This record gives sequence, structure tokens and C-alpha cells, in this order.
Amino acid sequence: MRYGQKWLEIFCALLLAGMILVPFLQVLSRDLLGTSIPGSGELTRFLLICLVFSSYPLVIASGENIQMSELRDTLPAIPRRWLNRLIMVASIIICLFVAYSAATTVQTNFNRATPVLKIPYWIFFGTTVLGLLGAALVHLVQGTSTTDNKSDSGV
Amino acid sequence: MGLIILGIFLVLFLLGFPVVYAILIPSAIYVLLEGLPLGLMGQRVTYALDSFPLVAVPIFIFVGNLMNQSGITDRIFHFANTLVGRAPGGLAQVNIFSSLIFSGMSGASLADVGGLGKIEIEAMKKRGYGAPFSAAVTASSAVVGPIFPPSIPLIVYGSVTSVSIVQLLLAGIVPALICIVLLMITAALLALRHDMPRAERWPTLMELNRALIPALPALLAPVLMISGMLMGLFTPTEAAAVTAAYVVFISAVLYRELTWSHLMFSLLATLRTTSAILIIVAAAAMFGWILSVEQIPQRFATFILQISHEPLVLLLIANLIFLVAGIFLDSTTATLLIVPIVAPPMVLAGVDPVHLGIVCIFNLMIGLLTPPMGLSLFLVSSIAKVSLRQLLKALIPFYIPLVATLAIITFAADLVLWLPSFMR
Repeated sequence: MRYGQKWLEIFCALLLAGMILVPFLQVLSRDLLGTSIPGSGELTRFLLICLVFSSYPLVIASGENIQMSELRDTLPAIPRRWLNRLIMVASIIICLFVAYSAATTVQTNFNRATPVLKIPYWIFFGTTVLGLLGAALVHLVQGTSTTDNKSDSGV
Repeated sequence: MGLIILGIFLVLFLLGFPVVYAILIPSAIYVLLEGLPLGLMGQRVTYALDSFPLVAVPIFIFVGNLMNQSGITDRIFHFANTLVGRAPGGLAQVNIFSSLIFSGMSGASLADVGGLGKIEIEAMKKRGYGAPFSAAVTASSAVVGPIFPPSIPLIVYGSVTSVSIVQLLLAGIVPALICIVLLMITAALLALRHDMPRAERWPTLMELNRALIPALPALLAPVLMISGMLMGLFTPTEAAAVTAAYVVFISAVLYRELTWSHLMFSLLATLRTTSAILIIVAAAAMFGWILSVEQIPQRFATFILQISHEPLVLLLIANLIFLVAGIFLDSTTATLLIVPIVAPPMVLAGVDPVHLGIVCIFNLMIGLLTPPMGLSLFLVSSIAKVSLRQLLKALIPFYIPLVATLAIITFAADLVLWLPSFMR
């Protein structure tokens, strides 16, 4: 798991570096050389989609999902434990549901591509599928490995 | 059905579900109950991020993280200390002034609190200021970050409402400066009243020069960005990329403090923050679509326009709505879910959408300083090691300049729209 996380971090860091570099090169190219890089906007948007979904399992792994846990934390231990379990199960189900939904979109858009760079749609819908499947997996691992009394396990 | 979906969201949110799931679960229920194609959710959620302006969000988060890693923050603090350390309130003034400079490069208030805030609070405590007061100054001055360009919340607002992001960013400058001045006056009055320490004398020109030179490259970043956008040289997203490249350049070549591990740490921290924010943007697109199918914004518009057609009255109502929303929701969620409902009738009645954007974001930023969703409060109280109760007590005087700024922003539309008028 840790090994996979390391590779995912490197992959996402490269996507982010690319996302910073492309618009910067576009400015240099346009304002200094007078020519535009064709499809740079398209590539940047594509990188953003890939970045957000690919790095989402990292957000869950580090417990950085935005949530309001104040009310939950005031509950007595037993109801809080059950609520945490409910949240974990619901999180896994909804991640799988949206991943399945994106997978059906991949099927219907299999031959389509972006207008300029001809990037196949299945690549970025694929990152939505993989990112959410990864998120479900991290929720599952966290749910099975954390002790019950930890209220904010990042679910 | 629309109201039931909204209700489910609120229940899940209050129960402590991660915001993204509190949005997605009722959306999935709606899709299933209404017999809509299953692929709709995956499609809406993915396409929501197909937006060039949103690319600026991770880049500005990266800039903030990199500044904290590469010693730029220390130089800004040292310069501000030399410049305003002698003013009544000494380091409190330095704290507020540094936040303005920092926000001119980063655009995220939590990056300000987490990076610069640490240095400021430690320095203030060492100099004999009370920990709650130091924390209160840090938290209140961080409110300025999200309205002074570059501003991540304003970029998100612009992408939701299709209002010019450049105009929104320019509109934030005057309110941010007003807020800074009012905060500095408040800090000075409190310092005089409680006889707080300050620097023994004003700096000589030589000392000022010595502090300015190392900080100058950092101070030039906001100038580069704002002038570039004003002259039409680049879009906000390109401005973000240019600022990031500039910060990498000055920290690596001029300051020689950038290491590979700093760079990697900044990239990784950025990844997690970006994904945590933008996954909500993606989920909210589906939710927003459901609300518009259910005609919730139209129903709200009819209701609100029955109360009044007067722009000022509507702005006061907007203030109330966003202030309450800011107390209970985090700013991204509130912007994504409430703005699409509240903004259309306001604009229809004649409220300027850029003006409304500033009013909305400033209200939501005040919400960062109020429980239960006061993210700044939690971060600052943990950095300063003070209880939430102590911090809230110390913050009370600082709510006055914040509310005063809000009143000025609300009633003086011309002031807010002065800079954007050059682009119209």
C-alpha cells in the first residue's frame, strides 16, 4: 500500500508540474515569440481533471477530506462508533457508484476525443473511475485497520 | 423533490459526512429515483473540472506552500517588522502588514495562517504578547488573503457565476486595503490601551534599505501579476503560472534556499489540498444541476423578489444569507451551493455581479473566524496552543473592523467597482 502511494504521489506531482509548466510556456511563447502553443488550454484542463481524481485517494489516506465533525465528536462513544461505520460504508458505496457511472460514460464515449489534441475521452473518464475506485479501497483499508474509537479516521 | 435533496445534504453534512459525499449521496438518490441515465453522474462530475480558470487554484496553493518552504515568508516578516515594528502594537502591526504582502502572492488564507502565522505567533509570544491576542491578530488578518488578488475563493466564484475573474480580482484590492487599515487601527488602539511592547525606535533609512533588498523580489510578485492582468498580458490562470515560475526562480536562484525536498514537499501538500477542494467543485456541479432541474433557484428568485426589488435591500439580505452560510459551511461548499441560487435574482434586480462576489466572499471569510466551521480558528488555536474559547474572546475586538469593512463594501459599491471599471 505504501509503495503504491509513493508511486501515485510521484505521478500526481508530475501532473501538477506539467499543469504549471504548460500555461507558463504558453505565456512565454505568446508574449515573447508571438506564437501560441496549439491545444495548451485543452492539455492544462485535461491535466487538472487527471490530477484531482488521481490524487483523491491521497486526500483520504491523509485524512484531509473536508468535513464538519464537531457534532459527531460530541456524541457518546457507541453512537459515534456506529456513525463512523455508517459513514465508512456510505463512502465506499458512493465512490463505487460514481466510479461505475463514469465507467458507463467511458463505454459510450470510447471513440470520442478532444478537439485539438485528440486526447481520447476514455483517458480522463478513466482517471475518474480509477481515482474513485482507489478512494473506495482506501476507505475500506482505513475502516478495517483503524480502531473503532478513532472518530476522525479520514472517512 | 429538490427540497428533500437539500434536506438530505444538510443532515449528512451535520452528521459529519465528508462534504463531497454529503453532496454526492443525495445526488445519486435523485438519479436513481428519477430514473435518469447512470452515466450522468460520472459525466457531470468529470466535466465540472474541464475549466481553465480552475487551473489557477492548485497553482496559487502551490505558490503559498513554496513560499512557506523556501524562506520567502521569513523575509516578508523581517521587512514588515523593520517597517512597522515601531508603530503602536509593534508585532501585531507587522503581523497584519505581512499578511497583506503574503496574500498578494498566495491567495489562500489557510496557507497564510499555516506558514506566516506560525512565525508571527512565535515572534509575538517571545516579545511578550499574550498568546490569545497573537492568535486573534493572525486569524483576523488572514481574512484579507481571500479578497486580495490572487484569491482562490474569487476564482471559484467566477467559475460558478461566469463573472470576469480579472474584474473580481481587481475589485478585491480596495476592500482588502480598507480592511487592513481598520485592523491596524484596532491593533494600535488595543496596544495603547494595554501598553503592549513595540520596537524601541523607528528604523533608519539604511536599516530599511537592508530589510527591503532581500524582500524586494518577493514584493514584486503581486505587482507583476496584477499589472500583467491589467495590461491584458495574461489571464488569471496564466498569471498564477507566471507567479509560480517567478517564485521558483527567486527561491532557487536569488535566495538559494530551494531544495528538491522543499519542492517535492510543496507539490505533495498542494496535491492533497487541491484535490480536497476541487473534488467538492466536481460533486457540486451535479448537485447544482439537480437544483436547477428542480427549479430551486427560480423559486428562490420569486420569493426574494417578492420582498424587494431594491438592490441595497437585496444586498443586505445577501449579507445575511452568506454570513449565516459562512458560519455553518466551509467557503468552497457555500460558494458552490448557495451562490447559484442567491446570485441570479440579485443580478436581475440590478446588483452588480462583481460587487456581489466581493460581498459574498468577504462574508464567507468572516465565517472562517466563527465556529462551528471556522477552519482558521482551529488552525490558529492549534498553532498558538490556546483554547478556542480564549481565541474567540481575544477575537471580539477584531470582529468590529471586519464588520465595518463589510458595511463599507456593501454600501460603497463605487469603491469596490472603481478598479474593475478600468476594464469595462
